[in-house]
Amino acid sequence: MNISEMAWGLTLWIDLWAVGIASSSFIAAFIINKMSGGRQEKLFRLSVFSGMVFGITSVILLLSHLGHVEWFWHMFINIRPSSVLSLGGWILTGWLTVAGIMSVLWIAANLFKGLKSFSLKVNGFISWVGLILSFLLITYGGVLIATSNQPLWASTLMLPPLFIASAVATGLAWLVLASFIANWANRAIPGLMKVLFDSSDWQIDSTMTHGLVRALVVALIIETAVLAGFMAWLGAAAPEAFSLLVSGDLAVYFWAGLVGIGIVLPFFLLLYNWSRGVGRTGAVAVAATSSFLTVAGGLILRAVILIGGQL
Amino acid sequence: MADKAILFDTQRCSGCRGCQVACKQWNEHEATDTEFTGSYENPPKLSSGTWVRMRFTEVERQDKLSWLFTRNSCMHCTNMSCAAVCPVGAIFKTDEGFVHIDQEWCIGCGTCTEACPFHIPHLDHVEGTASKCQACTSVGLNRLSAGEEPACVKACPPNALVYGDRGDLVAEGQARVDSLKSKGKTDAMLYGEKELGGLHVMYVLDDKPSVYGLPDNPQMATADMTGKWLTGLAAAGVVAGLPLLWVIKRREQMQKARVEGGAR
Repeated sequence: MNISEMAWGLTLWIDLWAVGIASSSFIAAFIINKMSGGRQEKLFRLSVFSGMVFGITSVILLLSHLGHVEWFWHMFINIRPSSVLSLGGWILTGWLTVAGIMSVLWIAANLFKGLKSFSLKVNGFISWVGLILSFLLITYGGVLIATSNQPLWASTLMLPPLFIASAVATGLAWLVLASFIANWANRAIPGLMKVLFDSSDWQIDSTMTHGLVRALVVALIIETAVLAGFMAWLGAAAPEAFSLLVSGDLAVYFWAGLVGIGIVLPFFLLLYNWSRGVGRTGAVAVAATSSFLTVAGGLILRAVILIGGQL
Repeated sequence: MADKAILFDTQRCSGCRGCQVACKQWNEHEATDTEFTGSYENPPKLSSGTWVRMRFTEVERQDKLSWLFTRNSCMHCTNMSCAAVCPVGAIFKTDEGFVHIDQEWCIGCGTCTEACPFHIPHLDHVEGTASKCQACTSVGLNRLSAGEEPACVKACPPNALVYGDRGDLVAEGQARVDSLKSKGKTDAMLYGEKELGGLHVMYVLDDKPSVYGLPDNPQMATADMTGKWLTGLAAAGVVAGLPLLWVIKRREQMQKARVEGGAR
């Protein structure tokens, strides 16, 4: 197994993982904010700001993956509907534009109070555009690799749902981690937090974090079910590719990494937390650890699937 | 211009690999440094510097060992997966019907390498582009426009490779297949006549394609792309969108309750 010779290597695993987190955390925070009647706008801002970082990272990785970086503009001469990479390039560009405008308007409104109502109106509208683009972005990664002739990727229609289920779990886990980081940053760098969030004394309250953690448990259950469906279909349609994952060269990475670290361990840690009471000492550490493992698991899943398809 | 093609007759091939050498020589590819892998196949795989290679397969037929030779190179499909998935439109068909990658436009993303049903294109990590057999139509090395046949065809000693009008070659191939069938080779077939809209490299086979390491039923990578998008979007909708619908519904109910409360 020589990963360096693979056409789609490390940069693409991280790229697909990063766009999954950016889009799913946007969707989750958007819904949570709407459900709360706008009281969780700070969480939504957090998802957009961090999504920008993931999105830009993804663009850089996508470009570095190209053989001719200086010709990347060839992708933007026209839209090619039969090319998922072409569509993905446009979707990601659109998503980053929306997230960029929202971020600039939020910060501008914090600095110049007169812009507040304008920012509210524009962001209120374009956040819906961002939501639609997030749905396309969360779907694109799985469809990109499924539109191929590699048995592991193309034999089942369950690959895009698997990538989506994994992205939802990683996105929620990221929001849990980001909440802890934001609460810490409020104390450590209040000046910057005031510019970004119009307040330096806010906290993403523990009720919110507990809600996210509960949603993460459900997301991990859904991911397990989708993974089982994917494997069952793969076993019937491409037995060799199935064997490669469960008992072949990638079995250790599949069972210990994807299943163990990415799903089972965080799930049982969260259940343990739940059963012992979320208010007890160490609960935050367990929640943070589980979230970190889930986020890492999302990357392992993409690595295992991408390597497996190219072996 | 009439569609051109190459006909490869597995029954005439002697496995000399003259086509490999001619291809490397004409396209100015360096020799590949390899090690013995237990087979006379050499180099062991296609690469950016090896556009044609002979695959040697050993099969047992009626208690006798047979050595099968298969030409492993671009099949120049009519329905091109590589061109369909290319994000920049760098892959196109020449006037002769062969598939060409524009080396001045390809960005080296690798999408075509994953989409090809025959796993032919390879990334050239030095040039930063995808590369494969261009049927001797590369810029500055175009044999076809000079009225020549491809280098591999020219070099083939037993005439296992023939170049010509595709229609003529289909007829010739079918005649050879009929001859094989009359000798009891019931699975004989002309591979490429109809596959993927018609290949521009066709094989006379005396057995099933899979015996020769060829896909029995090659598919376009984009064949069920719409289904994959729809499944994905449906999954995204179920996992993430249903709560949104619930939110909208809930807000409507709250608004209604507020209006009713105000009326009272």
